[in-house]
Formats: sequence, structure tokens, C-alpha cells
Amino acid sequence: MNPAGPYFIGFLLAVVLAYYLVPNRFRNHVISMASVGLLAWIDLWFAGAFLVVTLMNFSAAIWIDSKHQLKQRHQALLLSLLGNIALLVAIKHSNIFHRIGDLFSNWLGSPNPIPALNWILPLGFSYYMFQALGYQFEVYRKSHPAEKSLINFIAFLGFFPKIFAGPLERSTGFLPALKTPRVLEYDNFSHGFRLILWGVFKFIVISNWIGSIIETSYIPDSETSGLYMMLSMVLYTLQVYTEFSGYTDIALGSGRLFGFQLTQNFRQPFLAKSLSDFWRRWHISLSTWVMDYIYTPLSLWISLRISPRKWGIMASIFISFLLLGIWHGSSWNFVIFGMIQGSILAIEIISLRSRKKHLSNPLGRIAGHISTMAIFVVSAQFFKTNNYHETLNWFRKALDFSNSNSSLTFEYNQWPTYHLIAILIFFVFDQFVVRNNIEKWLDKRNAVLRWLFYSLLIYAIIAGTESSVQPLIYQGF
Amino acid sequence: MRVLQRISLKLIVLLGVLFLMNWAYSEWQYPEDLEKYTPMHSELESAQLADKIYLGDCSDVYCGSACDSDTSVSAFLKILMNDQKIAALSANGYQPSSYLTLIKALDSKVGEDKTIILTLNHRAFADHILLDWYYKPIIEQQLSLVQTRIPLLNRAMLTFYDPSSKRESLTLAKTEQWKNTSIEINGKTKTIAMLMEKAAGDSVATSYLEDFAFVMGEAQREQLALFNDIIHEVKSRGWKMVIHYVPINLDGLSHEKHSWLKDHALEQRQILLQHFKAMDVQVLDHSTLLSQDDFLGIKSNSHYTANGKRKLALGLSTALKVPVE
Repeated sequence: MNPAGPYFIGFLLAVVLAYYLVPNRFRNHVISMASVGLLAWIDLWFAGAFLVVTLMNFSAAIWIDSKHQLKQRHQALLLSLLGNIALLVAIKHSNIFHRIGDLFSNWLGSPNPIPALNWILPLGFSYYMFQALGYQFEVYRKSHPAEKSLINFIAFLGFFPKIFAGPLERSTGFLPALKTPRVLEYDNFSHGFRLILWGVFKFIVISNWIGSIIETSYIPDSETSGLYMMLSMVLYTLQVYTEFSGYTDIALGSGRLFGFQLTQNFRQPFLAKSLSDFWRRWHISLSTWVMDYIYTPLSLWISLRISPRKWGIMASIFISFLLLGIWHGSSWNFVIFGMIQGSILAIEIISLRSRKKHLSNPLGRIAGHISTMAIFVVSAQFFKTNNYHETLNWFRKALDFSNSNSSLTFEYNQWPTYHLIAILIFFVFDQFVVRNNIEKWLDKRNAVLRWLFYSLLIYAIIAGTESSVQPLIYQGF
Repeated sequence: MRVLQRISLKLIVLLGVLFLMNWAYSEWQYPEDLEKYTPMHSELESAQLADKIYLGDCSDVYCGSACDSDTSVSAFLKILMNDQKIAALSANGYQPSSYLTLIKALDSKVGEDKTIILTLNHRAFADHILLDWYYKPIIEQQLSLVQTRIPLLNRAMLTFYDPSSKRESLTLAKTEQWKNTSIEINGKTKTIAMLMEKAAGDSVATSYLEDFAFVMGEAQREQLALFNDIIHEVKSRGWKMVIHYVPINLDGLSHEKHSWLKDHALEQRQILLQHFKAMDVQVLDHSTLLSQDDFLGIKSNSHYTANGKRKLALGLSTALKVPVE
């Protein structure tokens, strides 16, 4: 099921209708039933995995909360975290052990004794798992008591508009929102539908246009010029952005229909001046999660137990982003992605003072923007290919200017000029005019202009794409 | 209540916008989209004005590397019946579901005395055709635009059609079904996997099992129901229906070691013939019309040579009681 597709939107509208038809005290029941129901509709295994994680974390948090001594709380938290991580590794990274077995069996020349499990990753697994881990931390820290209502907990962990790929919601914000009475408000509907429409447009139209341009560059052995491959590399990053931010807008808009304000995941990421600035603007709910629940405790632990020097902070940031990379999947590609991010962020920390001086002048700022984008564009390629051999070959081919295909005549590729211009216009509009806040931008327009804008989006969604809906890239993580 | 009033007002405006959008789309973009996304569109236009419409699959049009002429059965039929308007709606991968959509896309008010000649390919009941993961999604998407809905909705269905996920799920389903399907041969029930293992190395037996190893039963009901729907649709329009049962290469199974396969094929053929005869439609049984020379290969699922296709067209034109030149 595609979150921008008619089945999801139809399901969403039916649930919203049921939600406002029942009294307030049953509204979380509707959300919980719809969330589990949607997972079961897609695959019973998805619903089963979700319920196991939910029940495990629901009871673990009550257990942690029942302990009053710090040491006991600490032990209970540790056990709960270990249980969750074991489940995460078993389901998401099950083949790591098979691959390790492969390495040894190749070395020893014997058959691999560890079978490949090839389990289908349940929809949204890492997203609700991370929310559950964050929840355990908050209960341990006594930010709030353990949730006593299983219905509320299911609604918090599995709220279906965010089940596909986040945003990661914090228990400190979302659980209290679930306990607040919600009434039918026109503004919620109006803003919700605007966000959904804008999100579907980005997801379906822009992302598909980009996909149709870059498609040939990623076909192995295709005769694509180096320059076209470079352009595809930049456009691929933009495709990931339009798809993921489009999906996030759909999730945020859907949340608004139920009366919730979900976490913003993007804030003009292409205007970032440095990589650390970039991660404050890109997949914000994940990067802040990593900072709060991995980086902060880790750096504290290192500075208290090992050394309070700068290298401790650097090591913490490197490990945190390495883990963020591995969160995407058990492939060397993601390890390399995490290592690139972690290393550069660590360098940024030690060079903060000298960089501040450079960033104060316009040329330095431009250099900052360009280098940040270049780093991300290059590292994003590790998401596109199946393994790092493929990625390296791809780079080799893109940079091979001795290849006759790399001439500037582009004889192998017709430049899709109209789509490129449209994508450029979208990019300027999205980053400089809308600034990841379509609701605010539309609020300032008059009704005629607003409806013209809606009509344009609806028409483009229905009749403006050349190919059908592609699966969401981030859904696979 | 005020909130509901405001929402209702916006919904009315939205309906108005959609109405205008549909008008604009139908006027300006729809014809272009038909050309672009629905390759069978021009054939549908010809079919609209034809007296006889031949609906066929690869048995009509296939012409691979061993092919001696690309003239199809329907093309021969057009030559043989040149005094009549004959159109063909044929393509590799067409299935009963595609035929039904194509027939529904024809305007019932244009041309009263139409005859629909519908290909009945024995292979259409095989598991891999029932769960076709390659052609079916592509054709389904192409046909989205000619469904009997408003054009803008058709375009939305084309945009939101997701062949990739459908393909994946169908492939998975196919794998499962392939493992579990059992058939009775010589009084013994065996799974297809077991029979394939037994037939390993014998390409004639393997290809038969791949395409024809089924017992016309529950699994094939969906396909039979689609044929029934087509017959019902054609009859409801007052058109004539002819079922054209195309050949299997039974001569290729003439070796003694393949006699159990030939018996199996003939048994299934009998079930099919009984089913369609009970439907009160004209059935042209050409399933045993061709001999080995008329097939491109020795396998039972081989396609036809140009001469084989010509023979089929000749048989058809004779049966349709039209003077043959």
C-alpha cells in the first residue's frame, strides 16, 4: 500500500469519519483498531510483529516504573532495551549472522552453517521500535509515568498515518495529546487537507518526474554520459527529499485531521551551511532521537568514565551516526553512509572555531552550502545501489571522462528540458517561498488564488505523471 | 454544525472543480493520453466499426525467432473474408480479463450485428497465466483509460495503478501455488513439483507440465467465470458469440512415453468443450486441427507457423459460412 495512493487516502477518510462519529472517550479506540487493522490488511505478519513489540514495551515500561531504586530501574531498563534490540536485530538484521557465517565459510572452505532467514521486514518496524525505545528511556527518566491504557499505547506507537516511515513521535508529546479531548475543528481539516495535497503532489508528481529522468543512469551497463550521471546523482537526492518530505506532509496532514500536530521532519535542508546544520533540517525526528537517546548518554558516559576531552565527543558523534546508518539496514552501504556522516560531523566539531570565522563572510557561507550538499549528494548514492561494489563502480563510470559517452554532446540521452525546468521551479518555490510550511503560505493567499493552486495540484497529481506510483524509499528502512 | 456546513461548502466547490477538470481533460489531454498509454486504442476504434471482431492472444500474433511470417490468424481471416469488416484485438499476454475490458470499452450502440470471435486457449487456465505477473499488470494498466468511467477517473486509475507491487505479490502467490498444486495422472495424485522432478531432462514433458498440468477445477473457476461474463456481456448487447478453441501440439506428445500427457490434455479438453457447449454459444473446436508441421516446435505449447495460422483462419472463415476465395 502506498501512503499517497487512493487506498490509503480512502482508508484515512473512513477512519476520520468513524473517529468523529464516536464520543471522545472512544476516539483512541478507533485509532488503535484502525492502526492494527491497516497492518493486518497489508499483511497479518505486520500486525503480529507490531502487537508483540507493543505488548513487550507496554509491560516493560510498567515494570521499570514499579522499581523505585535507581539501580533496579537501571537494570530493568537495560533488560528492556536488550529485549528490544534483540528483536530488532532478529527481525531487521537477521541476515547479518548469515553473512558473517559466509565470511568464515569462505575462509575455511566449508558450507555456511547459518541459514539465511530472509524475513519480510514488517511495515514501520524500525520506526515504532525506536519510538518504543525512546518511551522506555522517558519512563526510566521519570519524564512521565508508564502508560496504563493499552489502547492509548497502541495509538501512540502505531498511529497509522505515521506507520510507514515516521515521523518518530516522542511519548512526552504524543501520549499527553492522546489524552486531551479532541473536537471537530474546521482549521484542522483545512490545514490537514492542504498538507496532504501538497505531500501527494511532491510524492507522486515531482518524485516521478525525477525518477523518469534518472532511471537510465542507474541501469547497469547503460550508455549514459558522465555528466548525465552527475546530474542524476543530484536529482536522486532531490527525489529522496520530495518523496520523503511528501510522505511526511501526508502524515502530518493526516495527523491534523485527527487533531494532532505531529513532528516536523524537514526544514529547508538544502539551505544548510554545514553537515551538522543539515541534520538539524533533514529527518529531524530521527536525528534528534539519535542525539537525545544515543549521543547524549554516550558522550556523558565517555566524559565521566573515560575522558572529558574533545575526542570523546568526536567518538560519540561518530558512533551515533554510524548507528544511524546501520538503522537503515544491514548492508555495508549503510555502514559507509553512517561513517561518512559521523566522520565529517566529528571534524566539524573540532573545527568549529575556525569555521565560524569563515561562515561569517558570504563566500564562506556559499562554500559551506556547496560542500554540505556535495557530501550529502555523494553519500546518498549509497542508498540507491545494492552494495558498495555497485556504488563504487557507479562513481567510477560517472567520473570516467575518457569514456566517449562522457562527451558534452549527450548523444545517448535526450535532456528532458521541460521536466528539468519544472523541477527547478518546484525546488525554488519549495525551499525559498514555501519554506516547508505550505499551510502558512496558503493562509496568506486569497480564496481564488488558493483554489487555483489546489486545482493545479489536483490536476498534476491525476494527469501529470508518466508512470505509476513507486514504493516509498524510506518505507524499506 | 457550522464546521460541517463549511466542510460541505468546500466539498461542493471541489466537485465543481473536478467537473471542470474532467471537461478540460476530456477535451485536451485525453485523446493524447490514449495514444500514449493505450496502444490498443486504434484497434478499438477499428473494432467499433467492424462486423466481426477477433479477440486473440499470443496464439494469434506470436512471431518469435523461429517464425516464418508475421501474418497473424486474424490477418489471414481479414484476407479470406475481405468482403466484411474484420477487426482484431490481439496481443501477447491478453487474457479473459483483458477481453472483457476490451468488449466493455466498445460502444454497444454502434454496429448492431457484430460477431465476437473469442480465442479459447487451453493454456489460459495454467497457474502461471492465472497468476500472470508480467503481462497482466501492464495490460491492466494500459486498459485503465478505456474503462467505462469518466475520463479523469480513468486517468487517475492509470496514475495510481501499481504494477510493481502487484507483480511481486503475484510472483509470490505463483511460487506458493506451484508448490502445492496436485494433479491426478494415471490414477495417482502427485504435486506438480514431483512430476517436474520426474520429467527432468525431458523438455517436451517439462513444457507440457509448465503450461497444461492442471485439472480443470476450483483454481480455474475464476478464469471460467470471466469467460462466462464475456459471453453474458456479448449476448446482452445482442451480438453473436463464437468461441475459437485454438490448438495444442498433441502430435508432439505422440511418443509412447508421453501418452499419459496426451490423455491428460484430451480429458481437460473434453471438460472445457462441455462447459462452453452448455453456455449455448457456437464453439469452433480447432484444438486438434493442426499437425506437427504447423507448429514452430515439438513442444505441446509451441506456437503456430504461418501455414498453421492460415489453416486456422481458413477453418474459421468456412465455419462462419462466408464464401472463401
